[in-house]
Amino acid sequence: MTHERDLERLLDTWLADGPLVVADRVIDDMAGRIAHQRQRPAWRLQPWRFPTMSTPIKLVLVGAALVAAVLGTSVLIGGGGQGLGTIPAPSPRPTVTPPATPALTSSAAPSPGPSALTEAARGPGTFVGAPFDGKPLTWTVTLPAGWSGAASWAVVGPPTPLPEPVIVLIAETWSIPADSCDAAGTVPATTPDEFLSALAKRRDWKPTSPVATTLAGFPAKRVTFELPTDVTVCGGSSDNYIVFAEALDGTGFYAQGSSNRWTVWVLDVAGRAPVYVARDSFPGTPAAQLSAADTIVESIVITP
Amino acid sequence: MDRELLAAAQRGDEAAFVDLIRARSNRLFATAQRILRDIDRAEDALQDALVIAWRDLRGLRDPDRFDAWLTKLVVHVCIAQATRERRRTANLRVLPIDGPAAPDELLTIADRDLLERGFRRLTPDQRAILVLHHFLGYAPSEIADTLGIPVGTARSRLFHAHRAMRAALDADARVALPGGRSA
Repeated sequence: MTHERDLERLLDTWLADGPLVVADRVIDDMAGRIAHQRQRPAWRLQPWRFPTMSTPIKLVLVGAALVAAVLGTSVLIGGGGQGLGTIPAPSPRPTVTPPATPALTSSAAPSPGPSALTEAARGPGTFVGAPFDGKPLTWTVTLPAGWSGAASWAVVGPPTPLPEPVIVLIAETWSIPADSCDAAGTVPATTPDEFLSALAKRRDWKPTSPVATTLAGFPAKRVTFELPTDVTVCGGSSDNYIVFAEALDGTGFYAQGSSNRWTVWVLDVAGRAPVYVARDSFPGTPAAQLSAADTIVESIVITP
Repeated sequence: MDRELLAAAQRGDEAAFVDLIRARSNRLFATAQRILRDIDRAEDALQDALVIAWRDLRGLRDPDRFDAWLTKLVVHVCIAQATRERRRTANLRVLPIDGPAAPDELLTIADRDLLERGFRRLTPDQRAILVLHHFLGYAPSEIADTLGIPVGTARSRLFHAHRAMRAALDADARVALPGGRSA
């Protein structure tokens, strides 16, 4: 038949046949689903930059941001904070009734009680968020000046000249895809070891060996890895390069840019699937901002 | 008007988003159905793509790209779903044809059957390219934009998709005729 007719004309005609109208219930159901779906903040795709500012203004702003980060770090550490992995109270608290006002790990909290962690949250201050829809778990986090909330599950550092500012976030139902360009079917890890095993297979990310530690009073394993210099291999955009698979449909948390570095704390919160605290950075991230981010991680209180 | 709706949707207005989608849903659904060749799976893919669109809407920087962005999401979800389905059904016979068998003066039932079976033999990427080109009328540059590939690659893939379709049709025609003669 293809020798007698033009294939392109056949395809035009054949594909024009078929249903053209979608059932109303499909859109109605979609409307119901988005009512339970958070919108991701724009910063994931729209990093702060200074496209229209002169170099001196950029330098002043970057300097101010760094000073703010250093000051914020000093305030937080001033209370006698300890390094990550040496936080006391190692026993998990799965059955402890949450206090009306979650306890803070820093004595320098500027407000009497935490405010809600939303995109409007601005440091310095202590904020509490319910990061997982429909679940009672909350996390409390103390931010220095210059840091802000990005969602109930993420905070973000001050602007830098880098591709993206530093992020600290909390997550669940993660796994590491075998193929970052096709994460569909990646099953969320049910134990920390499952997650770490999947990560260990990503030799292209050069993951470090897991280090046993504690975070927010829960046993944890900390691991660090770095994405390749080219994360646009999946269709020309880093937005397609999945780092942490979140759902079986292949969606997840994608690369924030080239050579994106991640430190992940995989928490064993008794009685539930792993909880992840993650901090990203880039090779050129200022040390002061990394230090501020680590202090923020150290400030986290998780109430299951 | 759409810009106002889009801005509202980006601020979290669910009703505005639904209004935006209702105006576009038929075209998006028809695209999904043609790639997946199944109404139920097309509905599922469309819903999944629209939920992703809602989730990532704030990241859309250029309002003029909204339609192209939506189409891209739908096509990518369809390709992912078809890829999974292809793995599961690789050794199974093709499914019955969906949709009304509307009479077409240009195509006989035998033609339609051959086209359907030939199309189902293509890879999900090849199906998507043919639908973008022949159903939506996309030029290679638009296909490249939708699939996130260079224009030259889009042209090459379109060529190979046509060649694969022709090979699939010829193979089916040979099977259909006694004696192994080509149609």
